[in-house]
Amino acid sequence: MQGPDPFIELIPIAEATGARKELYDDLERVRGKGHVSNLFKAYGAFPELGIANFKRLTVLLSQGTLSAKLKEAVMTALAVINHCDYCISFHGTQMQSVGSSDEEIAAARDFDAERINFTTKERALFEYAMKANGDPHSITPEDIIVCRDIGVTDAEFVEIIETVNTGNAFNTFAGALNIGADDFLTYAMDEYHAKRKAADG
Amino acid sequence: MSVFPDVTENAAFEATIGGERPVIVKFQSEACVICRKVEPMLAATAKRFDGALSVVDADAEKNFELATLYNVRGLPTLILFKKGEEIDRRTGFQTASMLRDWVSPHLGNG
Repeated sequence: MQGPDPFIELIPIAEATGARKELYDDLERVRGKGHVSNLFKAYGAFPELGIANFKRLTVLLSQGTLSAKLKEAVMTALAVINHCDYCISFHGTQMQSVGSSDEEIAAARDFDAERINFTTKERALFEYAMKANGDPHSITPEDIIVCRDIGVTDAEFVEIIETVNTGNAFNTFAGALNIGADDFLTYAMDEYHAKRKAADG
Repeated sequence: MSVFPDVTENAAFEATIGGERPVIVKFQSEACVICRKVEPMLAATAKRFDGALSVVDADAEKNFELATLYNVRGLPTLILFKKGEEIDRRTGFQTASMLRDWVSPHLGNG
């Protein structure tokens, strides 16, 4: 964690105009009034990319067949791997919103799908996601057979890999621009603020 | 920077693997990307076994003789030692689940 301030300007909702306002409006329409995350405020510096990325994220989270709980658990694990404290709070909050317990969020942070109330398929896909993220070339035909035998479809392979890609992309974006956590997040904010304070010296 | 103690020097290596507690030595190098990717998986595994297992790093490029002695042919190579003896090894990326399944039979049996 690098300190308290983002490296680029984050324009408040009330001051957004033009394409930036269009991006913010998209976010509020999907997530609720005031819920324009700092990450997407940063994307507001290049709003056309922000709009495209939010559309991609919305498709991933709303149109697939895999559960939001699985995808958010994978993104929580990735946030730990990528040392993105903002992202841990963000995806932990998202896990809470789909009914996950604190113990399940802790299990995602420990990369331990056995301690999350998952189906057999979800557990296998969480493991597949961790392996794909760690070294995609280490995935073997046997790994695929394990997933196929419990009903994983081609579309679900694409969906889980895209979850990994999306989590990593946003973690990189937030880390490289030092984007801080949103004030509407609820998960592990004491932990987040303690780390932020320590980084600030 | 790794979260694990460094035992690249021969003396530190010998003192570490000779202990009572099982230890995973991660042979790695600074340039090895997969070595960094496996680190959080190893940290979670050590946390899961709550003191019954430790993990250390040995830089295979800085101590090539040590890596050669232990027949390290790819990075990362993870070698599980107990009381100075090699119990088993894995090469390449491992998930936390794979690591738990690997080490758990070797823990807690004296």
